[in-house]
Amino acid sequence: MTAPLSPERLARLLDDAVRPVTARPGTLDRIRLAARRRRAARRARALLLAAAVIAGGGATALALAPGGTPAVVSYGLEKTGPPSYVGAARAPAVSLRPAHAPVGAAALMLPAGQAATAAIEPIGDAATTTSFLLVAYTAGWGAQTVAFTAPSAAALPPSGPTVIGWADAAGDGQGEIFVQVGRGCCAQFWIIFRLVDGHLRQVSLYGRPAELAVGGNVVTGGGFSCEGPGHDLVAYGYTGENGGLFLATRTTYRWAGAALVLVSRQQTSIRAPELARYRGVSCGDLSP
Amino acid sequence: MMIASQSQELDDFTALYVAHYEQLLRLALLLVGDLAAAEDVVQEAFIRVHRRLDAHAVNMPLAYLRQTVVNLARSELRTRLVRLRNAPRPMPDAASAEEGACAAISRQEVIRALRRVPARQRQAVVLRYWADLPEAEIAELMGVSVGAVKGYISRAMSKLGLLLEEAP
Repeated sequence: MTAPLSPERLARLLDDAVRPVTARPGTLDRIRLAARRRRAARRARALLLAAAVIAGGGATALALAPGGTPAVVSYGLEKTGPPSYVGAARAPAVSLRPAHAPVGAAALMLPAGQAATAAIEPIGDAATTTSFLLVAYTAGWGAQTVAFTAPSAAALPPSGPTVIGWADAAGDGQGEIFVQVGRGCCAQFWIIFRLVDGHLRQVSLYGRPAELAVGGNVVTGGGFSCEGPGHDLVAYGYTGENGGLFLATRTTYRWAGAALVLVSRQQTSIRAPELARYRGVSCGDLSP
Repeated sequence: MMIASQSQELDDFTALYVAHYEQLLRLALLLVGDLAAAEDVVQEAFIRVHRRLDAHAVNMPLAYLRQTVVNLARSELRTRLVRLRNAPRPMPDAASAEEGACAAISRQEVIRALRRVPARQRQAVVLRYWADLPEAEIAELMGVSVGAVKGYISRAMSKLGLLLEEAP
């Protein structure tokens, strides 16, 4: 026979056992971040559904919503040389834009029959933050999230970081996501995300976020092409004026996982009529 | 306007967290008997209530949180064996002081005894004598009759009495 356990004694034992338990530091932030991730993923999936409905049965669509901003706002990948790119048409892509998509959302039909959608969510106060979360969802990738930082809130586009679109820049059939994170008077600044080993990663250069300069003015400008031999990424740029001459640079990078690796760089002098060749984009259906 | 509204929601959420997180964590610990799992359960409950607050879809957030914690704890217990078999939690290289404290809590006699009580009985007795909820509310939380709650509590008390008596 044992003495019955009294409710009072049990309550005391239970209370003594758990009283030392406290919240770990940072728990509230972790909960908020997780909540935002899920909200972004839900929006992304909703966009995908909307795009798929518009596209009709069997179609695969890529919907990209606006949101965050990337880090590092230096001038592009580096100003580089002349393009001479041929506007090679990739697989036919149809642009879709769901009527109820969030401001800045973009939706694209993928050529390879993949369904994809992406959204960018601010982390923290949307009005001041430079930290964002890109949430992408495709049939092939599943849901993927990656955090990134914008170099400066002041350089952000008015509606925040904006998904420019998708292009199979590396020629591996997976596709890369291009996001605008900065804007000057005449040029835009884009960063790149790609799927590496099943995870969406921000593409880097020299260990820092790679940034492409697109567009420009009569003094400086840039652009890029992903349609060179071996799917190398070729960045172009020009700067300055010296007696009617501009220094133009053509820099070739090779894809290496989530990084771009410098292959070669050429510099030459050009004249004003040639500037337009150094500030366009030739990469699938991407356009500023 | 939108920013102001978001700030208000965040303030509400922060207030909810500050007021109730630790108590719900303790409740979850008593229900699942493992601090790491308890943290998962309560954080998941807060993530869900965050969404509900966002959508203005919850009138009594504490009641919603408590219900969610109880449901998730039950689900956690149901799936624990399968999870442990298929995806064991990786062990850290070295235990931190905090982890040591957690282990000490898990080793407490009453926590060990609770682990040996069937889940429904454990829920009923913890909600009654630790959370101090009336039997009618426990019945609603657990989705059973008041009579069933009384039965669970009675059996749990008998078993806990034996287990705690046996404890060294």
